[in-house]
Amino acid sequence: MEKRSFKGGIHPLYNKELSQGKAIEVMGEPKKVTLPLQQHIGAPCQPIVEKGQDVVVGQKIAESDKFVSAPIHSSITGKVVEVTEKHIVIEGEQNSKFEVKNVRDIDSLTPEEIRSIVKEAGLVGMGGAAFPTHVKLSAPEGKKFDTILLNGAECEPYLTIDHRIMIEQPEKIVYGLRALLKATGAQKGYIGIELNKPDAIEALRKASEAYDNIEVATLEVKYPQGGEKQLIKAILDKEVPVGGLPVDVGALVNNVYTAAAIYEAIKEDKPLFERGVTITGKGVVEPKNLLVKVGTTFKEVLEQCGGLKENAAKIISGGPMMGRAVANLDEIVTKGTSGILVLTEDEVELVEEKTCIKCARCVDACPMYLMPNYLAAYSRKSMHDDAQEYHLFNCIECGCCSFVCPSRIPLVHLIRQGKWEINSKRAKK
Amino acid sequence: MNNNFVVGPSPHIKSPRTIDYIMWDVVVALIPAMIAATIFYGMAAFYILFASTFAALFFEWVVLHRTFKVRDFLGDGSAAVTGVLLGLSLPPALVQDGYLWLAVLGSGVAILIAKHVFGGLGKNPFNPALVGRAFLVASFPVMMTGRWITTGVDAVTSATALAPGQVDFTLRQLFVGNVPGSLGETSALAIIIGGIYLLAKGHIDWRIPGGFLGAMAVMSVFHVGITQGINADFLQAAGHEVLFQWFSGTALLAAVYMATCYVTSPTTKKGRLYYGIGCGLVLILIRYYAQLPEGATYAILFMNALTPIFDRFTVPRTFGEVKK
Repeated sequence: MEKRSFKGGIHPLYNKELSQGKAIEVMGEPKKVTLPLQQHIGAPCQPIVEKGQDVVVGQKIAESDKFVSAPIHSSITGKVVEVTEKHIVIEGEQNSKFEVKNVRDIDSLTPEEIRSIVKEAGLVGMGGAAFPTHVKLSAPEGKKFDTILLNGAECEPYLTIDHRIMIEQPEKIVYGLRALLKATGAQKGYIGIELNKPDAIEALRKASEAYDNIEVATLEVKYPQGGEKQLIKAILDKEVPVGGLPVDVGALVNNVYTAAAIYEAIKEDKPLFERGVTITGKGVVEPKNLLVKVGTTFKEVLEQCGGLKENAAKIISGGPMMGRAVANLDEIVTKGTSGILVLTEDEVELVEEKTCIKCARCVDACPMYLMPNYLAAYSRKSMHDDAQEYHLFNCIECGCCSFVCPSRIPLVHLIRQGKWEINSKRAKK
Repeated sequence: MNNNFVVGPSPHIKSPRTIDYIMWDVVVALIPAMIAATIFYGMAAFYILFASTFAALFFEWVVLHRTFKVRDFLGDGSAAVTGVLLGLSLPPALVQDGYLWLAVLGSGVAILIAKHVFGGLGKNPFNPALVGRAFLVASFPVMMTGRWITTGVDAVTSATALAPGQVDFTLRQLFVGNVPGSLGETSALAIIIGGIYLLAKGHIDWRIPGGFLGAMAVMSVFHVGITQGINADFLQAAGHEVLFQWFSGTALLAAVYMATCYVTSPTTKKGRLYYGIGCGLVLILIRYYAQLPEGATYAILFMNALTPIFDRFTVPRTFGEVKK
């Protein structure tokens, strides 16, 4: 098969076999959910329900009048027991099934209507960054979309949820892609899938057979193949300009899972209040792919997987490359939670950092053709001008540099800090 | 369930290739050259390699560690690499002549002065093994370059293939290593095996040895063209000259193991290629036009000095950047 790719990147151990073969299971109903008012990049939502009020599953409970924001819906039927500036807590019965209706079809909708459905359903990018989807769908003045790319690469090690949705519900993904094509007026849609998921490639090829303007693009197995800019480079052979957006090359990238959610929003009028999550790692008793209600605690989710093993040492929200380590199990599953990864003691490396030996492995691995060695050194010394001259802000924080560093220098961490320092300096001015 | 977990910045997984792993793997890659040296020069090779390597580890330990534990003593492997490389660059006659202590002295200079005076691993501007070697050649020229022994037979003095007026060794002899020379440079075959291992494991970039040997080849062809003109035998003569330049002396050992030293070579891809070409050029200029042994040593040390400049002026085009 064709093997599209980009330059740089790494080949970590994928460890997908832990959960790859597990079909998505519906998780048991949580008694209580805590819904954070900010689950995405952008403006936080304001509650539109009060304490003591009864809500049903799928009911909108918070929204914002700001453009870059997505409303929040209750994930269970029950009573609002707490409303604070940070979150809304709902307690409910054990049975709050959302009734799936078949309300409408894309053919009867205008592009504007599709965009407003996407917005009302509270859709955000489900690959991890959780950027409101309707914002992405609006091309800035004077620019237009030619191509929609769906990211089914799932290049993060361990995670398998996108893989599962691709083989279990490929029609939904293709439908979502068609909706995106209509909403943006783009001509062509691609679904990019890494070659290590032949069953997903097969399923989506079959599901998209009837549509001439949709193509499945097969990708080399490599991290960060699913990075927005890397995916565009691999499939379209175009480079998003420095400081620019995919729309600058006429492209729009969405996650395959988001496309499936778009289907549910349009066809079933179902807002985003639950999502598939991969629960995996050698520290979990029984790794699974679960359909989890937004607002459930990690603790409850992990209990559904038989709990943690004795030697569990690190809990990560997301994948091992870009996910965030959480301090405890009170952490909440949000719209952007693609995985819960539990690493064991012997997988958590606590070694001291050594001097850079200038081996240049970071330079060779960087998919953005940067020099992480210099960026990190300049950031560490707060030499902001030099760091920017070496294109600090073009770093996508994929972590390839830190992964390969034999001296264990936290390169991407230092780069992130450098960016943060510069941004806060700018904000002060 | 316990509720105390490790937190820290992403990524949460790391490549298993730490400094220790890489350095010890380089030592592994040097095994063919060590074996070849022992086959051709017998116990002399063993004594010299042991002396230089043990001394390098000892000096490293003196600087870095206080307690004498085996693991600590072996360190991160970089001192071992330096010791073995230095040993491989020494003439086997040292043992017969009673100058084995030169191996120890060379390692001392390499580790103590070339490396730790500058701050240790990662901070030294010049390749420690080469500094040690350059020091020995400059201070003890007679012992270092005056006497060579033929392979297999002890006590017969000879000259290396590169010495002026020397009868030609066949390319086959040079390739296999059956000629007088320093321990490790004698067998091209052994060095190539080690080099392939390093390339296959991704420890070295082809650009440095490629540029190095490529530049040597181009210059050799020119040299043949200039000195004997373009005649019927040109191709054969040029081919012979290229292989002769590659397989004789330290060129191959230097291109594969010394020029590729991480710390002292550029970090940009282009920089690495230019640096490799520079090493090859300087080496061949020394061989053709200077009355100086140790072309490879001085060529690489000279290019080491230019490494920061290569890095500065070969910053890669970043993703999405349009070159003005």
